[in-house]
Amino acid sequence: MAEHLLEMNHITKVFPGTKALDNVSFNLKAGEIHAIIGENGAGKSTFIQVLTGVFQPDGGEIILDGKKVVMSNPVVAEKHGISAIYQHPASYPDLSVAENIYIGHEFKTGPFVNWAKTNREAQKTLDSAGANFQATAPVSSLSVAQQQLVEIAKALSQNARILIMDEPTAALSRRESEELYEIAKNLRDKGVAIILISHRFEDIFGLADRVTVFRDAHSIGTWDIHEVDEPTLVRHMVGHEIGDYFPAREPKIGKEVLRIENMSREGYFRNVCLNVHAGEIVGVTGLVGAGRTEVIEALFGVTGADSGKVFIDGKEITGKRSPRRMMDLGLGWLPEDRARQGLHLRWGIKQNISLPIIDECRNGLFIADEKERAISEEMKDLLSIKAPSVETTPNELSGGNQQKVVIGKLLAAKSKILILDEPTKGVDVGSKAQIYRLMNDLVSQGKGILMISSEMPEVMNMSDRIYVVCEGRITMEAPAKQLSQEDILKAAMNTDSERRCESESEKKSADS
Amino acid sequence: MAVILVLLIIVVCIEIPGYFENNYINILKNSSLNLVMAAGMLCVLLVGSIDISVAAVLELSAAVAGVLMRDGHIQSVGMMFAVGILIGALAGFLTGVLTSYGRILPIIVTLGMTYVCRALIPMDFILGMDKIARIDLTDSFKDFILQKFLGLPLIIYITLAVVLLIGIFLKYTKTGRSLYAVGSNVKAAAMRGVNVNLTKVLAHTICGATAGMAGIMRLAEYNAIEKGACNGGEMYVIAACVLGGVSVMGGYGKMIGVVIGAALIATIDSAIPQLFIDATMMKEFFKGILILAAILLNVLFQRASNKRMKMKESAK
Amino acid sequence: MKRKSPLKAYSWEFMLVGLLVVLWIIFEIKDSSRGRDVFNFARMMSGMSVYMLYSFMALGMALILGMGDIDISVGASATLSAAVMGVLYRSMTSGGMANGPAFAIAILACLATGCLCGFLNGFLITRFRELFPMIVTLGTMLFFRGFCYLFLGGETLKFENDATWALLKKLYNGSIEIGSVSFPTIILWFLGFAAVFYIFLHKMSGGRKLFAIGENRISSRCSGVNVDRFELLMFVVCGFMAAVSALFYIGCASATVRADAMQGYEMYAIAVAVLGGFSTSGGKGNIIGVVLSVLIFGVMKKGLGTLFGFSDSTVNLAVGIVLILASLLPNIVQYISHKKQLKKQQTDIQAFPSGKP
Repeated sequence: MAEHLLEMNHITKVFPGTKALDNVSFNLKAGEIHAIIGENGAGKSTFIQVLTGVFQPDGGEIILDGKKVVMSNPVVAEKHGISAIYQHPASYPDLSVAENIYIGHEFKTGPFVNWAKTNREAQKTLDSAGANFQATAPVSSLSVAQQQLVEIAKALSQNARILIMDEPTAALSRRESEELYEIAKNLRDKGVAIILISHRFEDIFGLADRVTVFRDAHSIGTWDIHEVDEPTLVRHMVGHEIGDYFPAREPKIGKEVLRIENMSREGYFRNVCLNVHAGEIVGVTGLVGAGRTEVIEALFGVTGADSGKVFIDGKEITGKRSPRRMMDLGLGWLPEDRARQGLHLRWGIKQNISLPIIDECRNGLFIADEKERAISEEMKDLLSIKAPSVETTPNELSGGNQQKVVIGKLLAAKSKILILDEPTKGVDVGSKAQIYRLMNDLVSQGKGILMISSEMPEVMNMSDRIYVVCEGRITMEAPAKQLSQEDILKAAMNTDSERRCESESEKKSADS
Repeated sequence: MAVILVLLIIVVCIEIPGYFENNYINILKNSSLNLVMAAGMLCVLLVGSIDISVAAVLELSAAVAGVLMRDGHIQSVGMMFAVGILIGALAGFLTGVLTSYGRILPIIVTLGMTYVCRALIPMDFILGMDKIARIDLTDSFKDFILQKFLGLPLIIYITLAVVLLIGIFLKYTKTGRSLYAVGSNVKAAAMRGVNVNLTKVLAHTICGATAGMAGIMRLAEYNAIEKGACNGGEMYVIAACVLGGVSVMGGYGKMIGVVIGAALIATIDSAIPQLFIDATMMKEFFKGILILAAILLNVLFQRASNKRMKMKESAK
Repeated sequence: MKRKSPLKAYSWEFMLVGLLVVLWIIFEIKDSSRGRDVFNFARMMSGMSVYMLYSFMALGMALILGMGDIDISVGASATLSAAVMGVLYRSMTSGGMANGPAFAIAILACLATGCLCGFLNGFLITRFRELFPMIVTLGTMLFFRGFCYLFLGGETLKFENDATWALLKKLYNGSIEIGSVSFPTIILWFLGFAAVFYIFLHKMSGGRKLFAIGENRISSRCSGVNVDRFELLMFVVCGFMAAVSALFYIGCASATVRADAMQGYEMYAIAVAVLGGFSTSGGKGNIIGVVLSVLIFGVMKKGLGTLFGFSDSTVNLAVGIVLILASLLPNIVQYISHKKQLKKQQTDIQAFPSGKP
């Protein structure tokens, strides 16, 4: 057997307009976990898609077990024992777990699928992977972590020798991530080679044996995990040193601008209380799926809340809430899913920025192009959005610049209170620092920011005050300076305690 | 949905003594045409497509087969079905190719197909200004509809066979499952090596074939066909599928649901004339109301059960 | 929404103009080869009326398609509006009311019924998001049609000798002389409505919101567009336009009202709007395209019918084929340009093996 299970030499892949991979080489030993990191657009996904036969390389060769192979399509790659697990599992939500595992290589009697055997075998595989659900359940009823187990079971059922995990922990809670680590390590010890793609340094330092850095369609280098530390990797990823990543700021906290009191929604969150002051960045953190986004959706009236009060500038907001109404009251919302909730990807930046204030961009009855243009040019300069013109469509922009367009929408609408849901998700390191600086500028102008984030360094360094949410309840509130990362994690997994807030009237009685 | 059907039948039985005993054969017979087409429509909906040209395809295939019989080219019942199915399948194939390889939205393609099929029927080389009437058909063909086996009309067995065949195809064959895969997650299916376009063409071809077959069944039942005879029929086909819980987004739907959906519509159809005196007019009115109500109720049930599930989850 | 050049921004409209010109030339040649002058502008205009009935629905449908929805109940809601109008008028006049006011009330009732039908559609669609608009309006179509049968039964309401009802006939048949050409008033009505729709869709903030919804409904909502309310309103407008069609239809069908009238009109309306450039997936389209496509349908039907002597069905065949081909054409163009781009890229790589493209 050759020294390397898999060698990929001088791979080049070109798409219209860009070179996605340029002379990339990579190798993989049996029984190792090899991590690939790089910024968005560095070519990681394309590289994986070349390996799994989704794309054909325009140059280079793939050598498996010392023999040159051509991955002409994903089925061929599967036959070679290469399986991939994606961040959002690429499964069939309407079909059963068993069918998802065995689709493409079902057990058959004659020409017909043998469902009894398929279900039985699927259950066996699931049990061996430590799953706690039935093989006959529809995949849509499972959590993301469970769906990833299904994907792993699928790979196991095909006797995979090379397992690719593409951002497997991005949508998982810490506990679920650790369970996944255990499974991955078990597989490695059984001789399976794993390619791990991740943004999280915790994943890489906790799991990988070797790490390869991608940047701008090139592979920069491969190191043993003991040879490198986090700053080195970041330097390689970005290509230069990043200065003050989290810029310092002197907080000038003003009066309260937003307060939510005892908001509940059956099945999602209970008795949520929080407040934001002018000039303050409030961080809300917790595990993914703890109900943070749902609170914001209820605040904006996208989904209803069963009970609870909302105060803006000390005045209670009664009646039905809707995004329009909340915006008119000075709230701005940067939704978590940019492409789905934040932008019209095929519209120009100008039309995107003017949409929330389209009724103000008018001369009499008609839309005034010059007003639209003026405000969008202003935002483009203010936020230094890198685009040829305000006519450029967001789907031609990088994640960071897309995010700046959404922020531009909030600023154009003159929001006083900004609610940012995962503001740096899918944003490259360079733009991240820019967004942080921008947030500081905004609060120093007296705006209040409520930031929801899963990224611990971001929460720790940017916030003045932190709320921790666990299973739909706020389990901790404290100034950021008093908290350590361990405190937050403990609170995020503390399913027992519940912090009840005092409503205004209770506070008064306590004072007197 | 099954609950609604049973409830409806019970209500009807109480209202009209002796209804079920007298009518169950009629219910089956009435639903047979709709059911055959709904079975084909199921395939199309599963891959996330839709076909609103089925009624027009039905008319076209019935007209062509009828003309061939009138002119003496065809004598046997079997050949009639073969011709009907072939024409339907051809129409479906064309639709499938245009939607998948041509990338046109299925609703537009099938809208166009509706025009084309309806327009072809009165053309000189098919029907001209005529229509197919009793006199044009051979006796054996006319007798065929009256034949019974074990007390049930033959047509019911044919329907049953189609339903079983497609049902087994969908549930137990690899190709059948790929229909679900395509509708459930196109990208994943393509990555798994499923030929998405070909699968869509297959689904549309099956749907066309069932429509063609229904055309012959209709010709046998009414002994006549003309342009526009089945106008609006596609709506009842789609309604049967939706009532049967088939997802219009693709990927989810069971044959048994479609059977229940079609039976529900047939029950509504056959019960109304007996419940009201001013039969034909009230029938149209109540049919509209009941189908709309059933569709909406279906959604409300779904929502309630989702909410219950969520509650249970949070309680855990 | 990206406007690079007028040629690119209005490419679909240019294509429609081209199609219209080609049709016109073909018919003109055919006409002169027969040595007669059947096909000319004046005759064309005067013969268009019958093809204009569904054009009002098409305008309403354009709004709905622009939002990515569809409404297949317009034919039924038009019939229902006509039925309500007829039944109400008959009962009022037989109750001793003067014809004039009764007629005015009946017309208002007709328009109100259309709006109500649209409201019901919009209400159900915004409340039952799980169902496609296609399915909801399929249900309401059966429902409205059912109502027509309830009101009218199999009966045909006739108002042939009623002078007041004849006003509707005049509305349909009337014409205005401009120069030597007599324009049917129905065309002028249509152009008037189209102008209003054009201004609303392409010049006002409402149109921007409409296309925003069609492009990305969720994002529009998060950007402060009151999606549900706006969508509901647009369905009401669509129902209103159906009722307007109904008024002209009554005039056309010599002042009679039947329960099975205007069947399949929804399909014409959709076909016209789609050929006009409004895709069923929403987010794009131009009213100018709809006007052109109404003209194309009219010219094609008239030309094929009177010049070539084709039967109605042949004309319908052509309509179906044009509809499919018109949808296919942009896809083919896109496919070819994509292929070309890829090929160019490939040659670039071969020329500079390691350089950046």
